[in-house]
Amino acid sequence: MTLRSASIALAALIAGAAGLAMPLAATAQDGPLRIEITEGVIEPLPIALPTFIPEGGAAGDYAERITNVIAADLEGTGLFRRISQSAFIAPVTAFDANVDYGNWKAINAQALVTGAVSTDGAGNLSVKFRLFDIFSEAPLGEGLQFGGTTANWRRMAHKVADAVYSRITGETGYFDSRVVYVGETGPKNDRRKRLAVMDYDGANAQYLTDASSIVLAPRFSPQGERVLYTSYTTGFPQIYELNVATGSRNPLPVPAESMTFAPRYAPDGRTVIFSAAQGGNTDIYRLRPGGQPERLTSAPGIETAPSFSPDGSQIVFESDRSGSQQLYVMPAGGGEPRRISFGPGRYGTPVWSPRGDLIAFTKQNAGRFHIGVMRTDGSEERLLTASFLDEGPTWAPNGRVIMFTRESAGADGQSGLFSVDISGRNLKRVQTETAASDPAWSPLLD
Amino acid sequence: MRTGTTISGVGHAALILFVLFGDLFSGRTPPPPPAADVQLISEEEFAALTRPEAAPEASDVAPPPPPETPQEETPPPPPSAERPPERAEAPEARAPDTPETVPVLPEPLAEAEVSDTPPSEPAPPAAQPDLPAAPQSVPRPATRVAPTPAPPPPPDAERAPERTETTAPEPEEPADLFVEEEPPAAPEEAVREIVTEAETPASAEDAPEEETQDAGLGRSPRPRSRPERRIAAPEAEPEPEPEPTPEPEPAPEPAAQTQRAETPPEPAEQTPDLSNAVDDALAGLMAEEAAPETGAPAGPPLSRGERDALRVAVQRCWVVDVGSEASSVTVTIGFEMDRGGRVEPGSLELVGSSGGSDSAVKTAYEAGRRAILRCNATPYDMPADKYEQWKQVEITFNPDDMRTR
Repeated sequence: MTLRSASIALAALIAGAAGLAMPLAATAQDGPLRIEITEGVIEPLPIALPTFIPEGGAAGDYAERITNVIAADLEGTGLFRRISQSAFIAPVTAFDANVDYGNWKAINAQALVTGAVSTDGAGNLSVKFRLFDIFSEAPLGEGLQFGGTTANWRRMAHKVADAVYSRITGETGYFDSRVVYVGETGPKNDRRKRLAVMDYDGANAQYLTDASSIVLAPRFSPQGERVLYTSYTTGFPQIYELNVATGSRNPLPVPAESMTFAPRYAPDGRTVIFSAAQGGNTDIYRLRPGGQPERLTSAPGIETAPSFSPDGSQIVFESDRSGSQQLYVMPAGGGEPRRISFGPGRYGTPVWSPRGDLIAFTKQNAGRFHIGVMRTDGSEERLLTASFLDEGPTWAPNGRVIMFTRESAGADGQSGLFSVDISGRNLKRVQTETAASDPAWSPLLD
Repeated sequence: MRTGTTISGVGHAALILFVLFGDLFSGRTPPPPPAADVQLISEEEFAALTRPEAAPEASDVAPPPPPETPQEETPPPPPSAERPPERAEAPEARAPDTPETVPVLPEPLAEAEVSDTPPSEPAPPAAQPDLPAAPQSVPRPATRVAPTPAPPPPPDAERAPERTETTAPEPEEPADLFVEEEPPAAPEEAVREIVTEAETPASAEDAPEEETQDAGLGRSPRPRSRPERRIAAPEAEPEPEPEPTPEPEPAPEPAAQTQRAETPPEPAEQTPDLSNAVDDALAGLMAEEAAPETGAPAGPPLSRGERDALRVAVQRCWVVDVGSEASSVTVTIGFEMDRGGRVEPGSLELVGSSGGSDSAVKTAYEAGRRAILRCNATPYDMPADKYEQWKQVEITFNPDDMRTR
């Protein structure tokens, strides 16, 4: 035994000594040189987007405008930077011309979008484009062509931008989408509110209701053809459904004596969840097509602002059952809720991301309002904004951008729409004709 | 039997340990003693000594250091940057700095001038009014000096001399590379941090220029190498420089240089020690250098500086979209380079990935590939004699830190 252990000890010593004595020369490698990079740069990708080539007499004007909208879409994401055309080494003169990658490399373009616009003189418009990866010296996907009417030229531009965005980022775009919101006019103490809908970038705004009664919190259906909203037409809050195309509207079939609000569609587009207040107690209800409202929560206090997960299996909502307003998640059919927000302050208006990975919310803490996101289990909370009053987040169809209401302080304070990337960057105002609030983003249009 | 083997085992073990470590300790102990002498000098002595003898000695001291600097890099000892300032060693550690700085900066010129100036001019006396303050606080400055590399020092004028020193050690091998690459790297840092409105909105974009300067500080870990080479102790006097700096502020940079010029004179007293120490340092360095080179089969391995150079060159072209799904994907991309440092475009391939959907992996791969190709517009500056070491490369792009930042 002792002999053995002694010899083992000796062997270990010798081995250790050998290891110690081994010089650094052992680091000489026989495989490839391996390097890990953990720090890159966060900056917009430089792209070349020469003005689309007009093919046909009257197309010139549209070519210019369409190119500008594409550029605005892409640059508006904060992910792309359009290289000034004056920096181009050689102009693009024909849609089918060969691409001289060297010329584009020289100005550090990483992608090139070329396109052409043609009209037939009868109100029909055609837009085609090609996308090239400069440093791979290869086209990025096939060329695409969109046809439509001249009246829809903006949508066609958005579609081109979506395709470019999608091919470069690997994610779907969100430019060909709309936003329904509440347009506001008049002073703060006599605010007139109308439902309105616009392109995601604020263009083509049109009103859906008149200002005869107060309207709140419109929500798009998953296909974007209908809108749920809360109206005070009868003197107390009640939910209506509006057909965007026809303008027809109907109250939700629920007992008329209850105050109902905060509606939202389930992913199936037919089931609706909403809140109803009865005797100082507000609970969440589900209304399935042809059925009766089912109560999903039973705690005393206020449960409201429900939002489905994209797979329809869960609902996130806000509740003050713990004494302060917090976020909870429960199964879609009701059941024991699980609290997910634990930070300081009050949390409200949770909205599940279309990607399913995040929940956006409004947070009020220390006298300020924030728009934030957290994982669906409440972890990794990040606040994206801060101001006097931020509230009511809504997700872009690809789950990449959040739009919300920001209201400035003071008696003449105005509310407006803002958007921010989920990384917290690229905060900017969405231009609207009037003051605006309560935005809700549509799905990507067909 | 048992006792015999046990005794034998213990004996052998002792012998091995002695052979291994006995040498180690014996080799390193000698240098410190000379250092102790340096600190004992008083202001008056210092001043008195510097005046007369400065000129001749300075010339001796200066020349030897330059050759050494290029060689230093390989033996990075544990981070000793924070070592106790009070000890005599601190000054010693400084000594190597001055030599190192010489090669990188235009300093060689400065030194040459220096040696001339002291003899001919009454300059030393003039500068001495400043110096008196320096020697007294010598120990304290050391503390300040050591930390400086890490935190960004705001006043450029005062610390200009120090900073140059810090940068000097880093570029040891690829001096040119670093100088060029740091600036590009800096803007990344500025942008890299996402400051949401919720957090204090700092104007991050204004920063890039400042950060370029600070970028050098990031290399602070490298100063580690100094402590071990204390051999050059006598030169420790450079430390007084930091102290005088407060006074010279009005005449910032020129003043600092003159002071440095004066500093070498001090060693003059200790000339014997100095020369020995320098010789020792040289010998030690050369021994250290030689070791790694001999062992490598396919040419010497890339130094860390050379690897870093490639890493930095690629990462400044790696654009990360931190809000995307691809930002949760780590991809490894393999490729080959020709002897000129140009990437063979056809050789790029996805070696591996972790996390994310297929489309996210594809996007992450494209981003990495773009980085490698885009920054290769001018070929990567790789050591030609080590081609076998970097002929094939695999780069792993890991965005985790950026996403969670």
